[in-house]
Amino acid sequence: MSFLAPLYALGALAIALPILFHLIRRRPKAQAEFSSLMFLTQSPPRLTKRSRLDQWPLLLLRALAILLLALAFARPFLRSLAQQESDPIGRRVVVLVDTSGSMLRGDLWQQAQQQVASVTDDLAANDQIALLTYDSVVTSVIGWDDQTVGEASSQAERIRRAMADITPSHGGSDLGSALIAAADILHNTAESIEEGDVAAGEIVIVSDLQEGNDLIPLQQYQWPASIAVSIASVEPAEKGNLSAVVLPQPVASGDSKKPQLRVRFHNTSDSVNEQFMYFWEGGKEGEDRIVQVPPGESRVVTVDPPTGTQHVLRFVGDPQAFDNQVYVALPPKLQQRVLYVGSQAEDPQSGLFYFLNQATLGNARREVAIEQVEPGGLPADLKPQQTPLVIVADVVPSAAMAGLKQYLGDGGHLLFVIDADPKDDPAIAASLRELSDSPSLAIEEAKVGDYAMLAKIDFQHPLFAPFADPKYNDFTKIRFWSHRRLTLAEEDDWRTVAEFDDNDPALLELSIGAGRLWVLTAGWQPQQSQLALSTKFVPLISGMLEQGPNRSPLEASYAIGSEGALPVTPPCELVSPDGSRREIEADLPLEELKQPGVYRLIQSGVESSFAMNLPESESRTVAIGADQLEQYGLQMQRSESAEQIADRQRQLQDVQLESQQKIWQWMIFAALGILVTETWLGGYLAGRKS
Amino acid sequence: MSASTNYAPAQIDPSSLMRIKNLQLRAKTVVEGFYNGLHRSPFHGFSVEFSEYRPYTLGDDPRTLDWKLFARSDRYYIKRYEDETNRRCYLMVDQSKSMSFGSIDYTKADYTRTLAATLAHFLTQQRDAVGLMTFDRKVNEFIAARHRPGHMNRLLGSLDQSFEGTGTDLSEPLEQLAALVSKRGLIILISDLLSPIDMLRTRLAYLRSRGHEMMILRVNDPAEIEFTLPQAAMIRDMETGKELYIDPEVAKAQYQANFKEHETQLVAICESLGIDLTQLVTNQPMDEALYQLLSLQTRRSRGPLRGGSLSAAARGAAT
Repeated sequence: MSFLAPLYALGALAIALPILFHLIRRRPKAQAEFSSLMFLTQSPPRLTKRSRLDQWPLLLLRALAILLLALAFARPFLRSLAQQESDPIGRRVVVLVDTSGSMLRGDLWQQAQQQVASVTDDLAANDQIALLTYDSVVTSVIGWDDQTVGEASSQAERIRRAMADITPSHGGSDLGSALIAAADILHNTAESIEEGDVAAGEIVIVSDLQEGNDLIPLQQYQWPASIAVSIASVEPAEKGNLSAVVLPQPVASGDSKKPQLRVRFHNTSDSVNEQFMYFWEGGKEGEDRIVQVPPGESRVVTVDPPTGTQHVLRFVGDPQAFDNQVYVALPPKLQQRVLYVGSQAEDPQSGLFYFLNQATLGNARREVAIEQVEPGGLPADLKPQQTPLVIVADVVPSAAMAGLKQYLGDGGHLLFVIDADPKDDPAIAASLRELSDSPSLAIEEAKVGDYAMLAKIDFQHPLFAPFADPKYNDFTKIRFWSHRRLTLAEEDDWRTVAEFDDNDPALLELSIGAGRLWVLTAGWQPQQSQLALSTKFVPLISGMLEQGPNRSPLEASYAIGSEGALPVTPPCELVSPDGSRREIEADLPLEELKQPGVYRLIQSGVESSFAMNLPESESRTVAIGADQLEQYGLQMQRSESAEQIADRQRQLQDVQLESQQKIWQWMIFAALGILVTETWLGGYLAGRKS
Repeated sequence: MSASTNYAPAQIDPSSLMRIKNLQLRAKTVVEGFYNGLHRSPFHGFSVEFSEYRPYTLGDDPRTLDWKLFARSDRYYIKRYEDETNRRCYLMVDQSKSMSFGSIDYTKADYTRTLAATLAHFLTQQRDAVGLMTFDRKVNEFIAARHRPGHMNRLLGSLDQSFEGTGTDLSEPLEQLAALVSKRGLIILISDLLSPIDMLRTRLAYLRSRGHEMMILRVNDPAEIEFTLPQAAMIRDMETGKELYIDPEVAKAQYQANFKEHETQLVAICESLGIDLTQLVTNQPMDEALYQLLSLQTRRSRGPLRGGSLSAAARGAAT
């Protein structure tokens, strides 16, 4: 038998107390009177001789109860019994390997592999190990389920092989989420094994711990006290790093109107260099430029990009080469047009086109021209790529109807605006019926009291999704003085995107072929409503344009591993920087693009490009200390010698054995039983004596 | 009358005696039982006891001349007889708290009360005047010595009263007695004498110097002599209320030694002062006290104590 807390066994010395009390002739409670005490002096209680011990059974019971209590506090357990039982579960270690972009520096990855190997070498027979890697996402390489207990060598071998297959990515490092994931694994495992099995877990971070690590998620996480964290850090031979970022907004140079790029250089505080040279890859001789960036500071320089759509800006003088190139995509602006089909109004300000023409729909990636055509002059060969949106506000002649239907079928987007009383022009309803193939469709003027407002809006719909935020979703200031009521058959596939507060649909959507038909039952000119004058108008029309074909990347450059998705309209082809091509069926998550470089997206014959670069945070390579992790409540493991580890292991095992066997509970029960017996016996003897 | 100790005493078991509730009856029982063992009557003798002849000198009362002797010898002689005056006898009864102790059926106070009643009865029957003084730390009651009808009842009534005494202090009662009793007489002190010795010596010597005869009857419980407590206990002093933890086994030897020492000192004082000390134990018959009284009277017939012995006793008291 062994004891978890042997010092408590000293409490067994209290066994001397009942013996002493039994030996002491007790100071009697009884009083007697005597005529005079003049011949007497106080005689102290004295120990009687051992042979005078009486009440042996009581003494034995009391001593036994004290002995049992002392032993129970010492938390005994049986080691031999434990060895007969199945082997207890040993340490649980989660190795958390940083595979972010900063690990590409020098020999950091080799160091990391060695650190993991040394962790696996220290494993005991009954230890369990799991391997997680993290960059911007956490990946479980080897979990608890992938191994069997007692195969230390095979565990080590398995981990070693797994590490050989892993290479660092170019992603950012989200250490906070990774730690939480690892802690959750340990915590959940500890709970699921057995109640009371409190074997603590350990997380070993193999990382360069560069300051760009994202620790913010830890702020809202209560770190479990039983999980310790140790750091197996890797360090580059040379410190310091220069990074460069192309700022999103190009500037136009004064004379040539040629866009210029602004590049921000940042030098880390531990750097020794402060003078660097940058140049465009493939550029001409003598175009090198020098930039002075003192350690810990940033510089923004304006550079002229070479002609072409994709470039690489490189710089030298920085010992860490992993981020010494910046990929820049400069795709040409898309030339698109929005076609307005309708008659010119006599008073331009009372027509739809006037306000549409004021809307700025172009951006850095496209130029949008808004054209008006009479219904009769509608071109027959509308291409969705060039004309992503057609707005119809008049009766479409039958001759042009086929062309519009073809346009819709090819993926075009068409907005049909009913801004006049259908009684004035009954052919409107007929046009819409023909366009949408809805024979039962009927239009009538709705009776509006003072005004109508948009009441039910589908914020899930891509058109209104940008307005879903509570800051922007107030549509009550847009009043509609009149609108039309559209009656549809129930079996029609129309989708109501927005409704007026009198339950009449305001905006309807119908998919036709690859394209979409929207019907707006009110006009946006001030005679009809306040829509055109509201801040919602341009985003709404722009959203219709964005929904159209040839959706291009939203930005020119992304960080690898960043969240979000590229809008893609199939069929589409993605050309990676290494030249590989693949078909894209749906919107492309950015997380899938792990290779830095310029990607090309070819949709319907139109090419757009964007660059993927290392996250800026990866270039902030100054290492943080364990104290920064401790600020988030992490329990840091101190470095221990092999003996200390073995000792701690043994302690841990003892705790497990003790908690499994719980002999102390039985001892407490026995002591209580003995005390009850002692009480009864004492009462019985006292009664007999009296 | 000459006292003889060659008789078989008619002893009465004190515990049987104590069952008699009436104190007078109890006293009678002892005295008459005592008489049963005596073959001489106590009613005769003292008044005709011849003392001495002395030649007549001028100034003597001619009535005292022994004319018969003058006829035979033609000389004038004065014939003197023993004084016929009855004695004055004072019983000093200790009523202190310690007298309430009793390890047997009755207490020392019961025994003392019976003893005092017995002696009073006995002395009354001898036509002596009997007085009573009860005391604890001070004098509780004083009844002057008388011999007249009803006096005995008064004594018994006083003795029969229950009392709540305090501690024993013999010095003040003895001093007061000396002040109260001007005529010489016999003073019988009945007490357990559980008090310091030193003051006792001075006071007793003072009484003796005033011509009083003294007799001390020391009454002790058997437990006081043997120190037989049943078990270790908190023992409370009956007089002072002080408590001590006493283990009889441990304390017995010391107690007995101290008790013996006290007794020895007491005996020494009494011997030096010519005081008759009788030790009585409450489980013993009371006749012993009567014998001692008789023997004292016998010794008294041998004449008063010489002055030299008194002065020696006084010197002993002074030292």
